[in-house]
Amino acid sequence: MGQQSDQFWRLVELEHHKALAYCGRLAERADDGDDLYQDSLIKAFHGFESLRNIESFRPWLYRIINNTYKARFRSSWWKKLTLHRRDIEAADRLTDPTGLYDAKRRLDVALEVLSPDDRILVTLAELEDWTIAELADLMSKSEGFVKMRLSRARAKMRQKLSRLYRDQLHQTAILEEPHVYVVPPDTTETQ
Amino acid sequence: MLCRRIQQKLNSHDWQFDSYRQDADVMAHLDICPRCRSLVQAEEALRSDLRLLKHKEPSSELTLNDVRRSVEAALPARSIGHARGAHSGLRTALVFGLVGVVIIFLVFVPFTFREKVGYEIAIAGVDKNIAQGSQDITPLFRALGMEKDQATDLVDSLGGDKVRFSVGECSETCHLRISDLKTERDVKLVVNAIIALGCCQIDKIIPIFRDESTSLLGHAVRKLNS
Repeated sequence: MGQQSDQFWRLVELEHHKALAYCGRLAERADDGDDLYQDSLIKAFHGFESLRNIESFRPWLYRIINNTYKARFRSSWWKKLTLHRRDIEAADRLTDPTGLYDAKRRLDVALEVLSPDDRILVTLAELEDWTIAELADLMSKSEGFVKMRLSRARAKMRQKLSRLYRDQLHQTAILEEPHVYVVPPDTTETQ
Repeated sequence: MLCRRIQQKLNSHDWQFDSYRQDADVMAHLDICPRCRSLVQAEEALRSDLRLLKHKEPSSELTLNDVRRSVEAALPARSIGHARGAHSGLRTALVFGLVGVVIIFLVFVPFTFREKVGYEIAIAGVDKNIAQGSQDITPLFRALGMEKDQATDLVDSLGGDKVRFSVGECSETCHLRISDLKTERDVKLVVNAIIALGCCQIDKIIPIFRDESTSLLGHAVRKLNS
């Protein structure tokens, strides 16, 4: 087991940085991301003996992360109620000239409409730079299927944001509607 | 048409807004179509947000050594599998218990159901002598003017002797009640026969209900059988 353990940790070391960041992105909170990563690694460590091809360690590890994430997402309704949303402090906005706060907020809103599977796909494709071929391998599906799924997920996100924009435009239009004030005649001078 | 074209292009993997800037038709359409404009705006925002966030990884201070320590600390107990085993055993027991409770509820807990058990036909204007002189349903039909074979067939198709009749109020004519008709078909047969005879009038058709106390399962079985 000692040798296997060392081999496991050598392989994890290669993925550590990326996988940890990926967990953070999926889980929406840094703390939850750390928990997700550690839970996934415990499962991976237990199941490492069953991994026959060391070459496929990366997709295997990501599959475990994805399944752990989905299991959490599918957890009991009372647990879902206590899930925290991404912890972006309102103060971030004031101290963030890069627009990161707005970008996170917008992306949160857009990702809300996706299923856990689509969310995983979009995160890996758009934020983790996985290729279509790698995603197809991860999902054991064809590249065409992955492209179609990504395209549909993107369309859902776009629809969600566009509705938001239209609502904002509508509200702005209401706020900017010109008001006509009738000034009462000044009677003091005439008196 | 342009809406569709823009949406199709937005769905394609290699969408580039810059390529549209040269297309005067599309640009003109975006000026007048708020839906397409908001979709393009959303796509642009998504692209820019994803680009921005791609290079900004979530900050975590968790090092590989920290993870290794916590993973290996969780291992000696090997309790994960055992705990899960115990947990799944408990879950199975709970599921079986729940199923048991549901079965007991379905089989043993009685409910009162109101069931339609038959119909009664009230007939008015029956000759006093006929009403009071007939002992059985077949002679009654015959006395009302029905052919012998026809009366026998009718009574047979109603279930033989099960159909009964009773005489109600009598003045110049009598009221009769034909009861224990099981189905709507039986009612139709009797009503058609009475109308064809033209001797008396159908006063009313009354469905007969009975309250029965039975379990949900018993009720369901009875419904299925009926």
